[in-house]
Amino acid sequence: MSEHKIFVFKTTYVTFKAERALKKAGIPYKIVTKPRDISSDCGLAVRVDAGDEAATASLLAESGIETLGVW
Amino acid sequence: MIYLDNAATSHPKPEAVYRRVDDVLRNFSANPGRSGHGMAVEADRVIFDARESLATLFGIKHSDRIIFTPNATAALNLALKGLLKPGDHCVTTSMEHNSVTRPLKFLSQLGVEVTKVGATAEGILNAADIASAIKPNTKLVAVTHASNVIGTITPIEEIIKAAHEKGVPVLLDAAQTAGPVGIDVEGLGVDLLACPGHKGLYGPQGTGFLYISHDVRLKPIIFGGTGSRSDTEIMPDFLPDRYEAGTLNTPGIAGLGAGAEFIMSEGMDRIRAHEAGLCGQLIDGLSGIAGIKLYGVMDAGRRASVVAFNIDGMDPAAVGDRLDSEFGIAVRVGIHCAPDAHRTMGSFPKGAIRMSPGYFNTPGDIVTAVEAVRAIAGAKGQR
Repeated sequence: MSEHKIFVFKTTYVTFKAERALKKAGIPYKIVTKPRDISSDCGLAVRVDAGDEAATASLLAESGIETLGVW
Repeated sequence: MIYLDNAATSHPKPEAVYRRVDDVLRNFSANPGRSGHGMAVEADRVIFDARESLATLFGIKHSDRIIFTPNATAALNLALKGLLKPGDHCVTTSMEHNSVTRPLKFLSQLGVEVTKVGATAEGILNAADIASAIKPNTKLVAVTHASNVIGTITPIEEIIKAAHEKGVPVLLDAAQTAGPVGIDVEGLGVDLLACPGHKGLYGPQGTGFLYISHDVRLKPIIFGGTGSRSDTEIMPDFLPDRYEAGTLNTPGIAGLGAGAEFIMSEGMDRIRAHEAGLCGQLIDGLSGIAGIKLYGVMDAGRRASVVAFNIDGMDPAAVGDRLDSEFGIAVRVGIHCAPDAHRTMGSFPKGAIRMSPGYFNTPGDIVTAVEAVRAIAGAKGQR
């Protein structure tokens, strides 16, 4: 099982919105290059520890940041 | 040298702006939005942070509504050419800069109807005059927040209210006010806001932006690569990418962001009060000199930080040359790219001398400037 989860967003702008929210909430993350098989308009994605997936998802939802998918 | 030409470009800049531009140009000047390597991501982050800082400064909730442009002129061109089509009508004023007047002239040759609403000789615009110029085909009111020549601050709250009552959006040209004069964009309901980065926001030249509200949809006027939707020949439909084709001025935008942060940490009210104090001092000093004609409202609280004047019987260009060469004082003379404003105040085609104090000027600078004008005015008969 993967130790990480990758959150993908529609655009680069939204990806940095997500980064700012994670930084503020203190959830560890890394900006990574989006896996090739995932379709979006952004070349970047946000990687978090698998254990933080639920916290990340709810933080993004509360912040009004739309996620395209999680891998 | 005493620099009193801040209305053209502010100088000097806050130290933080110099440092930020140098840091980004030296360490992070990869291409934002184009690659996934660490330096490109950092360049992206630099752009994002600047957008967020500007959004905070202007009361804008979603910073993706801020489109970076090379200057206010490009922002105004995007707003005007992106919105107006042949058959549409635009209401504008006689206080506008050529950055509004010229694109509108061009559009009028394509079939856009333009009405210029007049102002008093002091540059005062009346919301009721603007409202009564609105017709069924009016698609935009384009108005300056303060003339670059005379400085009179426009009653935008009333104008926006009057235009919105008739369902017409408002484009605000904030070239002379953005920074020191508070503009609560969403609170006021500004639909389109054009700002230069290099004046009151303390960024480098080559920066500016257009804010586009959710209710306004523009055609892009520049097409090209955005780093997004690269597989299609159609421009993306999402912001900011839709209007930001081509590589951005990352170091400049970083400096602009630092300028916005400087204003927030220093306090906009404090900056505004200092500039208005200098303007008031300048108006008082110049009005005590025989043969001086001052333009605009005399209350410095009602004007942006510009003071235009003439000396009886003297060519403004000759006065400007003497201020520069004999006194080391930098001013701007002529018609300031705003012939309609000079016509309104009665100084066309001669033009005027314009002094524009900035936050980094001191009361001592103003004393020196007033004495220099007194010397030139007093000596005019001897030349």
